[in-house]
Amino acid sequence: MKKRLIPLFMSLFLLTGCGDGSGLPFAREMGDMALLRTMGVDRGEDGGLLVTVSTGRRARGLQQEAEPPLLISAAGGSLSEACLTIQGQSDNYVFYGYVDQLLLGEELAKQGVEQILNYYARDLELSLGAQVWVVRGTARATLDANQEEGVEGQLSVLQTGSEIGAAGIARTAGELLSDLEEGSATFLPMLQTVDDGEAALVETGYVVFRGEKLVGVLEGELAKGVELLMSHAPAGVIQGELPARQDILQERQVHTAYHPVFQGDELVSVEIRCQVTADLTEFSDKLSNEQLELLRQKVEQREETRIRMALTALQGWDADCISLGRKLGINDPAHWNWLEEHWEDLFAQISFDVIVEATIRCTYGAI
Amino acid sequence: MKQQISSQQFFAILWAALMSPAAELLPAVTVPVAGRGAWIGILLAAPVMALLGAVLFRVSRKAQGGLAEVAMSALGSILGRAVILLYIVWGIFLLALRMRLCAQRLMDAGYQDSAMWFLVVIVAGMALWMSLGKLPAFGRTTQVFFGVLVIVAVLVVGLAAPQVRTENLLPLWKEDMMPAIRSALPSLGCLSYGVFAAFLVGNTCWEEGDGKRWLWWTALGCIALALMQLVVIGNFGPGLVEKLDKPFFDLAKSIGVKGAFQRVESVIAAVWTFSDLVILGLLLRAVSTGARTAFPKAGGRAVSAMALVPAAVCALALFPDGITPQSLSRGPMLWVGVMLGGGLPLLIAAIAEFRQKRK
Repeated sequence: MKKRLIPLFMSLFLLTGCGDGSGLPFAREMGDMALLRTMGVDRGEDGGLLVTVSTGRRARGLQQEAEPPLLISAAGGSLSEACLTIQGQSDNYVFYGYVDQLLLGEELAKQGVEQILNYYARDLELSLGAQVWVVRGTARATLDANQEEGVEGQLSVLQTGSEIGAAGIARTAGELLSDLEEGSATFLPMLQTVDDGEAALVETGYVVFRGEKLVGVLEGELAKGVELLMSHAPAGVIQGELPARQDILQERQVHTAYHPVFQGDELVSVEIRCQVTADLTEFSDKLSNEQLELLRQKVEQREETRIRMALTALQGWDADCISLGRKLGINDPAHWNWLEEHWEDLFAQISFDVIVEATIRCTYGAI
Repeated sequence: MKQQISSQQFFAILWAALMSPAAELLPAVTVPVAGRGAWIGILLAAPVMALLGAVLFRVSRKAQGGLAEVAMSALGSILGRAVILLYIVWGIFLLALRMRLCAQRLMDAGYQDSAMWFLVVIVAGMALWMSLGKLPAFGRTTQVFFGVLVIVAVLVVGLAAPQVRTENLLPLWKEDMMPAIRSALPSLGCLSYGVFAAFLVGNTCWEEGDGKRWLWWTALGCIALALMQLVVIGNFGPGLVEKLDKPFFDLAKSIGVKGAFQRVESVIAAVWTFSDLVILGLLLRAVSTGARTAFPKAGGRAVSAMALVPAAVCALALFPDGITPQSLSRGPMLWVGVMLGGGLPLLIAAIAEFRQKRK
């Protein structure tokens, strides 16, 4: 028994952490750590990167009073160099494991983002599950403008809103990298800081990437068109479609299907069938059947225009950021090999046959 | 008197041991071959594994022992010993490789803060402790470990499943079938670690209906591994999976439950040590059983320690960086696995069957 206990007691010396040779991880107190939540990356002045990190509001003290976020900024030739500099600038041990929001500056996005995304794929602390946003202007300015309250809460609300259909499409670093690996284009949501006395982040649309570089911005109706193409119900309401009435509609469900139309072995067009379900959320008096039919047609026309506008813009940039080629392949797997080979060349010229089918639901019974 | 485990414990040891290489290798080794159809390979490997197991059980029962006893009775003492020695050398090399990979994963889970030698020593010590105890105790411990591993695996796959994107998995058409069939080979290489469980067949208390149970375990195990690959590929897409070092653990990094936990990969990496300990324990027990059968004078416990020391030294000396063991396990060791874990046992079983029929 004694013989068995000796090695056990000897091994306990290792747990003391005495000396550099103990082999155990470094001891860290939670209170001495800066748990980062948001990372902003901009193009640096000398062609390098400017990285700004934020902890979000921190709970401190007996009453858990919230302290303003800790903001640290550093420049470097690469993301790892800037991150090391940040560690040197902080009084606390900087931990990147909780970074779940990545803000990319507009200029950096034009220059290319693959280096940043690859770092997210390889780094031990950072995760591909982080939400990625492109910000108008610089990420540094965005984080500075929201210095008091931090952007974390607002970004989290946007992310949740996206999941429940109350905001635009949110995207993760993994989705972005996956799109770039499988195709040649992708898109990201774009944010802008609006300062009406208190800084707030608002969605302005989407930025389109061809390869790793930003090639265009989709705003307003074009952004809604991309949402429809992605089977995502656009946030916001539709109003004033019928003359002399103030009916308000809210789109709840969207399902868009894609079918390639072949003549022989040649792809001649793509049929896009978009089914929209909208709820009549506000109305002054009951609509007649004729009015409802007219409203339905107006919604269909409106959504068709949105889709066509978005497709024209994407074709202009030759950027299939909605993975249309692969979606066509799913519907027609027999032609997938042909499509995979030719889609890049065809996308910019192919004609689209857009069909929108709207269903309007109202609170006073079935239509 | 022979120490014996139940057939349920045997199956738990086999699949708990396979979970560690499977999480590291799948779908990283199948995607370069079959792209988005990589998950099909393991389903095609399942009948081969089931057949190999059935044949080995059959000849083992007649030889009243495990793979070592079958090799000795089928190939004679000289060739039989040579074959067992080959498995012992391969086993020690795999011990070194698995110890290094396990230590690397623990180091990554601690964000590179620890020392590699320390983790290798700890893992080796734990493996030795597990292999020196009684076999039934090892079997019972493994059943508990296996339960925990299954719960964690279900949690990871279940939380990541809603993020699967159809366009990462489809389209699949007849052109994709040949690559999918070819990906059965690396899948078999991954399952080949299981051949060391065949050394314990002689120490297992088999019952009526265990043949069916073997088929069920194989089918369910392979379906679970196919599902895991399906979710990994569906989340990242085949292109990104090829770029990632450990896709399954990267997937674990991407999941979280808002308001409950944000990051779980360190916990998952730590839980996966259970599988590493089982595979290391299995390898040590297989080496020890093989040595005892081929060289009856070799003491069982001493053999375990004698196998572990060179393996631990090799783990530190042969693999100074993290890239070498990973590329070895993804490349040459898979093919060695297919030959020694699939081809050679099948040949031994065929010879044993032939000899038994002649008698």
